[in-house]
Amino acid sequence: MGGNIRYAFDMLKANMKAATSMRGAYLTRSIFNMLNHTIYLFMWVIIFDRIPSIGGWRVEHIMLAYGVGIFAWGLISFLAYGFRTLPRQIDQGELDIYLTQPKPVLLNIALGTTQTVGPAEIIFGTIILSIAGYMTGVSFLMLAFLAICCSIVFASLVLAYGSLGFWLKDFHGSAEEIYFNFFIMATRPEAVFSGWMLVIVLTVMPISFMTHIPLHALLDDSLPALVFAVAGTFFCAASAYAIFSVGLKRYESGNRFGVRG
Amino acid sequence: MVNPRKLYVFASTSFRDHMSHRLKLGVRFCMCVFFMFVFIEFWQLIARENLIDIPFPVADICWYTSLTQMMLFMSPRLFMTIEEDVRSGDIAYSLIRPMPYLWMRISEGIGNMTANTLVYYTLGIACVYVYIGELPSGGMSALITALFFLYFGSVLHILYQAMAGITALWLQDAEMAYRIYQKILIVLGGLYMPLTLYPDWLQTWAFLTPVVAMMFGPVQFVLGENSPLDIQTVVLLMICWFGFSVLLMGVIYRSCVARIEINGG
Repeated sequence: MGGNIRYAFDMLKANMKAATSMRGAYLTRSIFNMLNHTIYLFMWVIIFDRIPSIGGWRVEHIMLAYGVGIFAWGLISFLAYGFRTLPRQIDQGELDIYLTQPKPVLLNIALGTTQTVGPAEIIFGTIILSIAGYMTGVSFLMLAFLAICCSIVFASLVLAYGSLGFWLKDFHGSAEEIYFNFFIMATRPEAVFSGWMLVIVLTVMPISFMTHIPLHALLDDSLPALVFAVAGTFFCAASAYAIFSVGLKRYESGNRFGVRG
Repeated sequence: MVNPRKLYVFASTSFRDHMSHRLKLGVRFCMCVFFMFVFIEFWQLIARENLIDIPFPVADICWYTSLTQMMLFMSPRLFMTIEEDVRSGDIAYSLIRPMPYLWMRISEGIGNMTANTLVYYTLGIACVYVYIGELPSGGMSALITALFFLYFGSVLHILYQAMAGITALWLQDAEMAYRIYQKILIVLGGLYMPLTLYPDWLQTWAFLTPVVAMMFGPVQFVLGENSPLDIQTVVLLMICWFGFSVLLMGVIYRSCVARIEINGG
């Protein structure tokens, strides 16, 4: 266990070193990325300028949901970008390298590659969360805990849907689209999802465990909602791991020759 | 000069290729339908809560947001294809072909989009109709007019995707430029609500950009009597923005290709 943690830490250090090696490009990408998120948030400001509340949600609630979403997206891009590229890695037979190593396959997949904008998104998400947390007066400790839960749920969704690449060929493009749309969907006001849509967002597309239920626990100090959010996090993580494990048994080597430096 | 026959061949090949990828087509379509339903619920909720006085019939605004959402899903992610060409170096092989690279990719994008259009304009529209339960107040003619112009709006969107794609030659990553362009399209194009509900100063800004000709211009026909632009204005807007965009694309493309030569490919 200790060896795996040290290994993960070394991989992270290597990823960070790679990200900061081209400082100019790194800075440009980070600025563009923050600009992109700012424009999107601006749109919600315009909407809430016209409509005071949507199902009880105001601009600060959207900021909480969006902040948690960006934080999770950034964390995954930095710590588990390999989950996002899993379908491509499966198609190209790249898992061969990890299967022959003594370290856990999932750890290698997660940290095998990174996206340089990850840290910038984590910082931006934290800033948005701090502003929204101040506006809503919620507990910052609880907010941090739920942001971690949200990240685990999102990583689980990415892993579960990415693992479909074991069954479906050329799934990378579709999977990327699914992840992005999950993120966008999770930042919509909770009240929009009622009836059959609520069933969808609690089961096949469990984005409610990412934002809606944790925010309900946070804003209303609801213990049942908190228990539900934590249970949902465990359930999502376990389901994703199970899907990945079943899929991995179907994995066929690409017999691909290559050098990994 | 680009040979239109060559463009047609690339577009039709891409059309057939895209139609054969049923999984990709199906996943994207399902996501699109779900998003459209979410937007319908979003506006129906606002209407139910009665917090603001919506100056349109609810059904019209539901149709409006469904079509704007459809527009985003109809176009392929062309910028990714171009970025992949740049990253892999394949662009060097494409440039020496007797066919302008960018027009080749654009015609492929249009072929791809036409395949999507076929599915979205039939099954997608049927799903929206069943969910809303009625046609927009302008009737079938308003809907057909909107869909007709939306196709050309989507072609214009493809041109801007191509421009975002070739920025990969500078930044090694087209996604940054595309995401910013996409957010501008979402905000100033009126994805979530018609531009007429925006503050005046933002409407003025929006009308100075090409995104109005892509999204709000075509789709506002479903608002019936409340649609602020007539057909002639939308046609004029489209012609002007198409002309400007093609010129702009040419300038960006030439400066990018010159950059490849300077760097030695």
